[in-house]
Amino acid sequence: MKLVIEKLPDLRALYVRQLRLLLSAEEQIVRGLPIMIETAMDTQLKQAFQSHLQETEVHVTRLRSILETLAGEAEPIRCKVLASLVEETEDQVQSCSHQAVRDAALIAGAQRIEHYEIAACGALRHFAHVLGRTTDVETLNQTIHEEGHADHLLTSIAERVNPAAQQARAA
Amino acid sequence: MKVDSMDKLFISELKDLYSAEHQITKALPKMAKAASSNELKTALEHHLKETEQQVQRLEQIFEMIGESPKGKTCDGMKGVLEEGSQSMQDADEGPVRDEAIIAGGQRVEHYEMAAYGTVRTYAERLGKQQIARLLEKTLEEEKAADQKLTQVSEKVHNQVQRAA
Repeated sequence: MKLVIEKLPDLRALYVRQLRLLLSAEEQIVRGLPIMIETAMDTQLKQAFQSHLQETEVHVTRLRSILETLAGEAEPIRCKVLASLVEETEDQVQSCSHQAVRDAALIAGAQRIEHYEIAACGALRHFAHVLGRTTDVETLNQTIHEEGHADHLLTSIAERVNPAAQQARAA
Repeated sequence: MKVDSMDKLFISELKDLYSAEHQITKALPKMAKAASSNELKTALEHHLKETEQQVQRLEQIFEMIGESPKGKTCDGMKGVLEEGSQSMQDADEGPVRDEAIIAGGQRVEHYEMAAYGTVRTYAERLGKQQIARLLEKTLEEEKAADQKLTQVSEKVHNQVQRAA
C-alpha cells in the first residue's frame, strides 16, 4: 500500500507534521535508551542514559499534549532519521571490540541524537513562535534546555571516558 | 573495520564525516534552487563553498594520518537529507517551503556540530593538536551556518505572516 503523502499548504501543517515526526523520534529514543544503558560500561554514562530516559518520557508526554490541543490527536509519523541514527550508532558500537572504546562510540552516537532533537525542537519552537502559540514555545523551550543539558553532560563524560579508551590501546 | 582503539574510532568517525560532507555538497544546490527567499539562496550557496573547503580540510587530515578518506557511507546524514527533501517537496514554492528548507538545513548543521565536536575531542585526546585545530575551524563554521539560518528564518517568518 502506498502511503498518501499529505501536502503542506501552510506553516501550521508543517508544524503538525514535524511535531508528529519528533513524537516518533522521542518514542524511538525511549525504546533505544534501555539498550544503550545495558551496553554502557561506565557507571556515570549508564546513569546519564537512565536519567535521560526519564526525561525523554516526559518529552513524549509534552509533545502528545501539544498535538492533542492543536490537532485533536497525537499520532506519530515514523521518523526515519532517528532510525538511521540509531542504526549508525549500533553498527559503530558493534564494531568496537574494547569496552572503553565502545563507550566512546556510544557517546558519539548519543550526541548526534541529542543534536538532532535540539535542531528539530528549535525549528518547532520557531514555528510555534510564528504561529503565536506561546504556551507551545515555553514547553518546547523546556525540552530544548533539557536536551542541551544532556548533550553537555555527555561531553563531560566523554572527556573522562576517552582517556580510558586511549589506555585501552596501550594495554 | 574492527575498532579496537581510539585511533581506529577516530578514523572511522572521520570517514563518516567525509561521506556526510559529500552528500551535503550534492544536496545544497537542490536546496538553493528550491528556495524562494534570496537571502536563503545566498546563505545556502555560501555554505556550499564552505562545505567544499571542509571536504578539502578532511582530505588534508587523511593525508596527515596516512589513511584513505573513502570506504564509508554516512547513513545518519542520508536519513537527515531524505527527511529534509520530503518536507521540501511537500510544500509549494514560497515561505512555507523556505521554512521547511531551513528546518532541514539546521538538522544537517546540528548533525555536523555533534560529529565535528566528537572528532575534535578525539584528536585532542590523541595528541593530534594540528588536526584538532583544523576540525575546530570547521566546527565553528557549522555553528555560524546554523546561526545564519536562524537569522534567515526570522526574515522568512515575516513573509509567512504577510502571506497568511
